[in-house]
Amino acid sequence: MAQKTIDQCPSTRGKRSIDREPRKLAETSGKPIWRSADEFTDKPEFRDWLQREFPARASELLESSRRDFLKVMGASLALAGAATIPGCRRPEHTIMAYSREVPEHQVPGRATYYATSMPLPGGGAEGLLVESHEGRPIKIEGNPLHPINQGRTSVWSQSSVLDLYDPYRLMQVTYDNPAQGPLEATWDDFAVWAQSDDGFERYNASGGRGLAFVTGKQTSPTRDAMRDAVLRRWPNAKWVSYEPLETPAPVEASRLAFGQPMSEELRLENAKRVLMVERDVAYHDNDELRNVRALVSSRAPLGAQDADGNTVDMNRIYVVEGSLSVTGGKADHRMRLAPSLQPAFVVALAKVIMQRLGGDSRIQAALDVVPVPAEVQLQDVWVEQCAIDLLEHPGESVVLVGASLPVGVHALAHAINDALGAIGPVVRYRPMGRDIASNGHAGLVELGEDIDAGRISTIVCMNANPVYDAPVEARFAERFAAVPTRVTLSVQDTETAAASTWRLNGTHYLEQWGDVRAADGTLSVIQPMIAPMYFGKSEIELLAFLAGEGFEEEARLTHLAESARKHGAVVVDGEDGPTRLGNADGVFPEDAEADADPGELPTWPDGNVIVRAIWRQVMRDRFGVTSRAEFEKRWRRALHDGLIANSAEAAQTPAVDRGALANSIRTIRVGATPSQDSLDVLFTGGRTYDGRFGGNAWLQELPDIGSTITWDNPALISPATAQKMGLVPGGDNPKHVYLREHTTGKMVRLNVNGRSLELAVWICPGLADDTIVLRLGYGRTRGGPVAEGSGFDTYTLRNAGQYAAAGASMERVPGDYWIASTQNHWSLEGRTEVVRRVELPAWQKYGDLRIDHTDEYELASSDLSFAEQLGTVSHAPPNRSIYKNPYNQGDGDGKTDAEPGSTYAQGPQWGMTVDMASCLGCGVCTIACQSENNIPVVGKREVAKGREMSWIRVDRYFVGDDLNDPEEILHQPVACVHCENAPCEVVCPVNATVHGPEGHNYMIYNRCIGTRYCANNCPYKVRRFNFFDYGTKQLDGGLNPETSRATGGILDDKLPPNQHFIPPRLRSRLSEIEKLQKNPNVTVRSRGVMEKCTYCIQRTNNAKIETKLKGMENVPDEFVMTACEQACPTNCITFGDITDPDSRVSQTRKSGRNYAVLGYLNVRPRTTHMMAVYNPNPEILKVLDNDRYKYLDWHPHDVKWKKKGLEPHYQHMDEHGHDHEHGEGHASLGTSFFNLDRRDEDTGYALSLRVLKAATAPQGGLL
Amino acid sequence: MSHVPPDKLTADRLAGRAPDANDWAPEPGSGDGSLTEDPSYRAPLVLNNRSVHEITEIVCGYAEKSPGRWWLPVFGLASSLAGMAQIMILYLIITGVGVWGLNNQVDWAWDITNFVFWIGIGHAGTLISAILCLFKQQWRTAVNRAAEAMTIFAVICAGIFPGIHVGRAWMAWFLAPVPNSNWIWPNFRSPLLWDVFAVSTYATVSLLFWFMGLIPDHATLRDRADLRLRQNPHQARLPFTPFKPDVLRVFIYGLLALGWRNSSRHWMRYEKAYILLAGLSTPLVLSVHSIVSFDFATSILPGWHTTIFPPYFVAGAVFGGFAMVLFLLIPARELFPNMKDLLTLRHLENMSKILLVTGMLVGFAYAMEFFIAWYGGNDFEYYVFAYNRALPTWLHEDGAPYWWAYWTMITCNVFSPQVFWIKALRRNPVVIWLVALAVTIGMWFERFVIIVTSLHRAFLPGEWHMFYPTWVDILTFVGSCGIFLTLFLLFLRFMPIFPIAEIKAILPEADPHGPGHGHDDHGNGHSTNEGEGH
Repeated sequence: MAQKTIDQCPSTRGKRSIDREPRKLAETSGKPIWRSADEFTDKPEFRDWLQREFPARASELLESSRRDFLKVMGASLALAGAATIPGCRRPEHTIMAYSREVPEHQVPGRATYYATSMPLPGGGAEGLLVESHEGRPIKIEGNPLHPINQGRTSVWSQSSVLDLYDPYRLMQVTYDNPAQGPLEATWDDFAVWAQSDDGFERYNASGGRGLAFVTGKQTSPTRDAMRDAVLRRWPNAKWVSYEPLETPAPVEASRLAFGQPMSEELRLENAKRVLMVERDVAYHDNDELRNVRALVSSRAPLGAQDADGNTVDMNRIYVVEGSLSVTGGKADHRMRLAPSLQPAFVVALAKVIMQRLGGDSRIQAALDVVPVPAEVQLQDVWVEQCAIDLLEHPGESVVLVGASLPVGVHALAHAINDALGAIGPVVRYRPMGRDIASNGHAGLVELGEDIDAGRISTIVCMNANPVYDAPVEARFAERFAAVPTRVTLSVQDTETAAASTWRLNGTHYLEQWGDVRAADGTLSVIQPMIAPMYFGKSEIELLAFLAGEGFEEEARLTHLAESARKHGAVVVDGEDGPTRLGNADGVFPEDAEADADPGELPTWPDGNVIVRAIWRQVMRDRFGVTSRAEFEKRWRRALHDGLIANSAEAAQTPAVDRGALANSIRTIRVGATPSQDSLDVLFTGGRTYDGRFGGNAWLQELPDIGSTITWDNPALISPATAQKMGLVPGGDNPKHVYLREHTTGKMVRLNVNGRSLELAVWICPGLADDTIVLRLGYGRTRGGPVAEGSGFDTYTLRNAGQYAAAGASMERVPGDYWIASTQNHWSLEGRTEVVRRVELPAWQKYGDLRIDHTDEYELASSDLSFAEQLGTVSHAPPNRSIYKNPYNQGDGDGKTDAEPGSTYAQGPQWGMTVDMASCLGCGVCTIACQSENNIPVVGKREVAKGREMSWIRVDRYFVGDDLNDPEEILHQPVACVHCENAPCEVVCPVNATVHGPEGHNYMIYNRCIGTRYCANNCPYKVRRFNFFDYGTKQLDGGLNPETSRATGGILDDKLPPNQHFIPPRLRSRLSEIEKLQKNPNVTVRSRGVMEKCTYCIQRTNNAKIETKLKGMENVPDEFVMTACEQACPTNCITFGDITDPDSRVSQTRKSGRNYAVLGYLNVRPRTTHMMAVYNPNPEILKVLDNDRYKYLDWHPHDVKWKKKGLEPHYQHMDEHGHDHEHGEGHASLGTSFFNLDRRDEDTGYALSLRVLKAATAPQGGLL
Repeated sequence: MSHVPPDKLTADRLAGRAPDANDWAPEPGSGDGSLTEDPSYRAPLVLNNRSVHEITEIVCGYAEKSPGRWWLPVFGLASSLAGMAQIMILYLIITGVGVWGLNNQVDWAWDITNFVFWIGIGHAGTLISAILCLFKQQWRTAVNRAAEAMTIFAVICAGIFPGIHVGRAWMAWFLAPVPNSNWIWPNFRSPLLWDVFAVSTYATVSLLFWFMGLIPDHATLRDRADLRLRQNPHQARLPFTPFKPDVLRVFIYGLLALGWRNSSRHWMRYEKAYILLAGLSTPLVLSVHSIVSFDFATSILPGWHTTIFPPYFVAGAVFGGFAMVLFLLIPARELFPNMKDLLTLRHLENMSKILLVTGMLVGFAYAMEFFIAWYGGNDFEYYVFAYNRALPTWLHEDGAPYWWAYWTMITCNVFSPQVFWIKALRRNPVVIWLVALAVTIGMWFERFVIIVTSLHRAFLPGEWHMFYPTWVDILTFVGSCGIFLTLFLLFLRFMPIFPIAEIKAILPEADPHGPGHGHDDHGNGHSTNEGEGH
């Protein structure tokens, strides 16, 4: 059968079989990457070219190199305006962006920005602006107009541009002939096959019986329409849409509560008290950007005012969780609780709330019958005070529970929110689409049974990877193989594609037309930034083709209009298309129409045409737009904006069916407390999302939340559990895990759900005891070297729709596994002055307090903000330097601003603040920086050696006495702080790092010889050295699974010895495809040079040029943003001109929370940090932590200092504030020699000051 | 100038007539050359009544005859290691600095450790030849040539590391202040640049000094070869070459002797130049390691930012240098015939005393670092000394991962030289050799401790990272020892390893005052030979 099939495809006969090696760009597709999107859509000759040549005999263009490209580009530009030169081979300029006409708005060398959207897995979208250089999208930015993004991005969208240039993508259609193996084919081969009786025609009679479609969940009107079209053609076909991380429990609970499945819309900006139970609103949530923005909106500004001028109070976040989530790291109170006990917590909480509020009697009754085992002990005070706090803020508090909790608990949460009055002000609901609400996992299991029964003969998988990530019960991999015809459309090389008979290369969202509804319902456009690099087809194109929908009329009209416009005709859109034509050159519509010979239209419908056709319907139905002219106007507007403004669907406040909820609440079963023999397991998504981004090296190398692991997903356990089970690597003390060259985790066999998996364990403080946190989405067996080498396939343990499991056991198996973690130090080591934080009462009391810190000889003075008073600066003598900085002509005094007239007094002077109150540690700044600045990934091996290249990193610290149960998790983004007195600059022997007049600390790569002295002398350790040719060579991360596996605990690294000897320099260079991603405005660094944050100087300079051309004096605030600032969803980073008193950065620098990390070194960093403020519940502290309550005014985690006898700094703030004296109070403090206060009394210091004073006195009194 | 006329004995000696053997019986108390408690005489610097001619024969014999069967295997091993070092360097430059175990926290480790270690080794030579020369310490003549040679070789080894440790070694010439159209100069504020100047000056002056001393001895070797050729024109040729060995000797030593004809003018100018170079070298002994210490002292890194570094480094360098001299010369003393006559126990004892003194100097510096870290009240600095260096992990959970390196250093550098308080031990070559070995190891660890333990846990705990050497690190260091040893073995084999002329000048015969005259007029200090009696 299959043999016969291949015979029907004339062009695949005798084709060579293909191997897995990535193909060179030129081999696949000539030089088409620079084609513009509009040419893709409208050139008949181009279509012709496509028909004839694509892709098996791709044009044998020159081996692409930049020089060749420039040659062709230059020649083409020279020919611009001229007609085709006769005799040329079909010239490249038909596929070049600016060959025929350079669009007026396109200036070579200057970036252009287009709006598009990224569909998120499971529905929702992000609205993006994509920066393109000469037709290459290279950087993703948030669309400021989009209500979800508001100019910001998540890590998923920020990193997605790398997937476009993945050299291991599916690049062509392949047909897997059982006899001959995989053969090259073309889309036309597929079309011929599909329209034959061997293909899809045979299902016409049965209405599609035996045909099944498996897709991901999307909220796309066009996709929905195409699905409907396909199902219209084959009504009996099965349609399963699923997501590995879909959440059946909340869907079911909302069905119970409101009568239909509804998705929630959180308005956390209105919430003063938020309780989250194993729920992370900031990660893997299709509304995560809005959520984090709202969550920190009343934390970061502190004292900011809302629109009405009222002061915004700080919210309080309670988190109860067994894992360590992004929001958990931000919580004011965080309780570690194993998943089995979380229902008990919610029940206990609900009881308090319902009792006090007198809630619905049915629910009260239901609560009373929930059995809670006697041995389950919760911290009663915590629960009660939390409940009281919530109910004291009616309408301003909300309880959110995560997908790992059962339906009953979700129902209970609905009931609590109902009782708290949260529904409406804080949380609202929207009906879910049919696909989104469906239980895809059940659907897959059902499909599997159909396959077993022989009822399925063809499966079409579109942008789904069920062979890898389907629930285990579906046994999908083996069943899939039993289906005779398997068609897979996929962008990446997936396990499912590899197992398919027809492997169709799909389009990345940056190269396709489409649409998507964002989480709030906003209609967003997906428009291509680049023509499909490998001539793939999008999902809607494939579906439309299968459904037989040609959209000929739409295509004809579109083509006519576009073609006429191409000829320079003035097109006036009438009711029925372009009606009025004719221009000065005498080009008339008839000519254009003649061009648009319908006979040349391809059999494949065009994504653009499909979307337009569907949007005409949508516009008509929803906005009442009937005329074509009006549609065109709106369509173009939508293309420009990337969305239709105000198209969000209003969220509702539906009535709650309390009876149904009560019934569901009765079903809550509280599990037993987990133990060493019966462990709890939590399944969570990792940096690869659900595995689909496994091939994305940026995400693989982004440190995991909390554990800071890269490239892996070991089972995470708490230190106490590890100690109890003897799984502490390298000894008994969990703090010593870093004492290995490659930090290693011990291998264990984990048994859960009746299945077992061998994987490594790793310790992460802050997890619930006896709970294992597993990240999903690793252990891929297909998808290129990046995806394949990393981690363990934890899907093999997981049941359908399952997020939490109980009763797991774990036993040690021989071997260690080396793990690359960017930060093995959990503790701040008592260095509280590095990351400062304060509790709200202290902040309210002292926040505005500034002290004038002048030494007794009045040689130096400084005005210290509240945050600065918490550090060494306030107790050390003011900084003085004998060396005068030529730029500020100051005397080196720690705080004095630049002398008037000096360089630093003249704007612009760039500076930055990083607000740790709003930083959640998500890491999008790292990815944005990587994307903007061509920062290479280095691979697992190099990360393990401490050589990651990220210019901005997010340091994570666990603070508190108990490592197992840290009181807080602090995040501190650190990049080059551009010291005014930069220690790196003086030590560089070749002047490769020098200061700029605008405050930049320049790094001159050409001059750098790589002595690395600058990095040694950098107190912030932000300089990154190219130990190898990371930038220009292909990734060699030691990701070979052979190298990762255990060797009996002796050798961590099983790299074959001969591989050690292959110098990385001799390894392969970057492919042409990978090079396309690079930002042309940023140098790609060679090996042997140092690099670091530049404050995105290319953006700053661009902004200066722009403003100069516009005749403006200064760069306006917010006109230039660094990549990290621009990506950060919580506005944590602020960059601007510090000499402009109105700029945001000047304002934030004035804040009482602003301080310079290590400011006492007198390096005068231009990037300053803003202290985090926490808002703990005093009632809980009073009971649980007497000491802490007593010292509410000081750092609760300041343990080391306390041990050393140094009293907390601002306990004595009153003394500083009122009498500026270091009085007797200090003399009695602890042991004296650690008391920095007493340094002033030290005679040696006094003497040196006298000498200094004499030396600087005009008389020169030193002698 | 002495106006005392030479007595008969001296006259005989000057006339080349052998003195009466009976007059030369050594005192039993100093027969082995070691120091004696009797203030009335000094231990002889040359034992066994070696005559002027015998000294020439002994020293030239080392350069003219095969040193024995041990030489070739040892040389083969050393030169293999040197070859390996070159392969390692080639591999490093082809591949990238990443083949070492460095990371973004610890950007210097074994490379700079080795650099400072080798530079330190070089200090003994210059100290012996320059400072002891100025102070007229005559015992220096037995060791100065070898020590100066070690200086040169150690500086060669030291010079390798800064050159290859940079990321782009082919651009290392940016360090040189080369005039250029872009008007880009090196950064004269950077201690690394001072290093370049200091080390290159030191290497140049040391080489000149060494070479200057060699000139008369090369001439001796040249003349002896020439004489042999005249006596026996039919020498056998060297295997596989058309050259006769003495023809080569005449040619090569002739070139190196720079036309030395042993005239009085030559001697006069030689003496002047020698003393001038000694004066020039003396400040260099202090400056070069002070400047090397600025690499650390001028930084702001806790553990490096220490004003005590310059004297501490100089003391440590002298300490390490003398240890290396002892480490190499004690075996040589056993292997070369008659060398014990020239290099006596007294020399070893003197150098052991220097080890004791400088060892206590560095011990004091170690203690002062702690004191200041504590007294200064800067917690970052205190942490470096307490928790990065000294506190063992088994004593405290925040202890220093490299505590063993620190305590190796303390044991070797501070404790091991203390054995020299006991006279019997500082006169025992085996003990001295073991201590010298320990000190050499300890001084390497000192640099490792300063560099790596300060760097691996600096200000922000978020970036703390351990350093582990790779096989390339290790083999490069071992190879650099091979380079050093290769050069030193070649020196032993082909060069005059004792300054013939200078040793002759400290023979009793060379004393113009002569026995029996010096005591009354000038005190004991001028008498070098107490054996004559009165």
